[in-house]
Amino acid sequence: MTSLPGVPLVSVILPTHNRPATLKRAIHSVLAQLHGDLELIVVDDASDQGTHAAAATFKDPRLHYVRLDSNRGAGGARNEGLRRARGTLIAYQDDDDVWLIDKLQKQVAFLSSRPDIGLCLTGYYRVSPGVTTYVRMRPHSHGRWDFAHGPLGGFGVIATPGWLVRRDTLAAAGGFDERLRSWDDWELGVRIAQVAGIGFLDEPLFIQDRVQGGHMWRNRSVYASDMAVILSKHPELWRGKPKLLARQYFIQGRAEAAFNSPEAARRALMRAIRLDPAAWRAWLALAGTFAGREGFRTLEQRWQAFTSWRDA
Amino acid sequence: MGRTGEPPLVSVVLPTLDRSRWLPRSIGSVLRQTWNDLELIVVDDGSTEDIAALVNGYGDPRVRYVRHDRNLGVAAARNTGVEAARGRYIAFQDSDDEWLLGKLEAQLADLQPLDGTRMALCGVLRMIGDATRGDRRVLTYPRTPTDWSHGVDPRIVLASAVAYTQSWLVPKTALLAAGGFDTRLRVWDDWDLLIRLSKQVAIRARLEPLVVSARSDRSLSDDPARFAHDLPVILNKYADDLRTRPVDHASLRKLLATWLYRAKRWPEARAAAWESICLRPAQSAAWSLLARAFLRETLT
Repeated sequence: MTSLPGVPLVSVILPTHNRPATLKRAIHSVLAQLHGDLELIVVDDASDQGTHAAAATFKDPRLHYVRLDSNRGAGGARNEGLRRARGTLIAYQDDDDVWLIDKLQKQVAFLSSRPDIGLCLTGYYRVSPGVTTYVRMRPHSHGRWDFAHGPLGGFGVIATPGWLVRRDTLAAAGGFDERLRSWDDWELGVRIAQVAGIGFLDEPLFIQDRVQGGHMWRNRSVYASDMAVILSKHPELWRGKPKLLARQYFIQGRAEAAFNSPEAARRALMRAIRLDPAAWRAWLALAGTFAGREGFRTLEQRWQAFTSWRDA
Repeated sequence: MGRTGEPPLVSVVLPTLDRSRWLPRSIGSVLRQTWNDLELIVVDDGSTEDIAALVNGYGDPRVRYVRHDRNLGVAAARNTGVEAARGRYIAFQDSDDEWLLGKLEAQLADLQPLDGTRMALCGVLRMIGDATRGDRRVLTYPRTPTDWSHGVDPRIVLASAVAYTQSWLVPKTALLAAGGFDTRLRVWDDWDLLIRLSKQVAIRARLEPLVVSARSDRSLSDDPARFAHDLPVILNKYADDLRTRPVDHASLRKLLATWLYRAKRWPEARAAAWESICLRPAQSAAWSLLARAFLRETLT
């Protein structure tokens, strides 16, 4: 794959917010890639700590620093980074993750050999306190990416640090939806699947650090509003799939009950029950909504404890 | 960064037998460390591929190339590297593996002040399994979360039967005092040396994985005969220490029985299982091994 002289093949976009310590490690793992033909755009999402200083310790001309004066969230920061990107292939990095040094090389080789693929995903190591797992991002069955299973539906989380996507594909699919605070990457995945093929490499090419990092942008309290946006934006996903749609309403209902409004929760859970009357979890959750927000959260904890005991 | 003529603080020893396809990654992850005051000694253990050309292609004055004219084994290759090393501290890299870029910096921090009385150790991530069957999964070192906050006890090392040289940062003086890698051993030269090192220096260990190891197509560790060969040598070497640790001794005898069984050496497996039982009768797994080995022996 070639690019214009002076223009890097790959643009790496790294949104960051208040994590100067892990940011240096994240930046270094990008600049040290064996495939060095890249530019790295660090988008400072209105941090108030030493983010600029951390980025400034790198004297590499491939690194560009951009600051947003008001906080726009990860999706907005990524969209802003894309505006400044010059490469034909786009990758993303999180400020608490680490790329293994052959990640880009392998993904570039994959896209070069598969013109039918617009987005290449990889597996990764998730390092948590006490346990490390290998997470793959791969299709459900028969090689098809079945988004009807929803953002919590099982082909792992579509983590943007695992992406290498063609610029053209992003142009056709659109940018991250900035209304979404948790599942913007999954939702963009839905739109990408509508315009291009998605491929994956079954090996760990980066490390998601859940020990020093966090999952700041995956916060259960935003699940309810995110799900509302997703359900209104992509009704076609669930045409003819009432049980899967019921599951999404169930997720929305639980989140509403635990963090927002028991009434909104009941509305969502009733939709779930109408679509799938056999969804006993939805019935249980519906009963739980009468305990108020804190009461519901307590009941959830008791339920988790019960199921851990039962399954142990 | 050392000036010309001044030795670097760290020497990295990388033995290789061919594997030129994997070297850019293993070498790259050493040369791109955040701590760059190092030398990298690639020990070519009689490769047929042109490793010299690959190494010289880096044009990095920190990289050195040493060659064995014929294949002497990885233990001998590591010893060659250690002998040639100019640094005060020695680290090891395998041709298939990758260091996270902050490894040396983190381990040097663990060893402050650098007075040669401690060695460092870190966690390792390793993928095993077959991609085509979709059963790939990660194996961590240590296997389960361990309390390393007070260092690693030599008695634990003796019982462990596992070590990864890629996870070490060792004072050269300690390596020389401990006696280097035992070239009689085929797979456990690393564990064997760690046992001796643990008697020389204290071990500062961190659970954080700083090395990523990929199981490549041709792995040293596939042959049970190698394990069955090494373990009696090790049990012999440390017989005195094991006399005071009957539980660990029993567990290592059972491990020997397991490898002998896998190597289809039934009479020896039976004998080793029995020895383990004599040391510690309350081991159902050893009785089961004894029974299975006995059955195999009588049925063939």
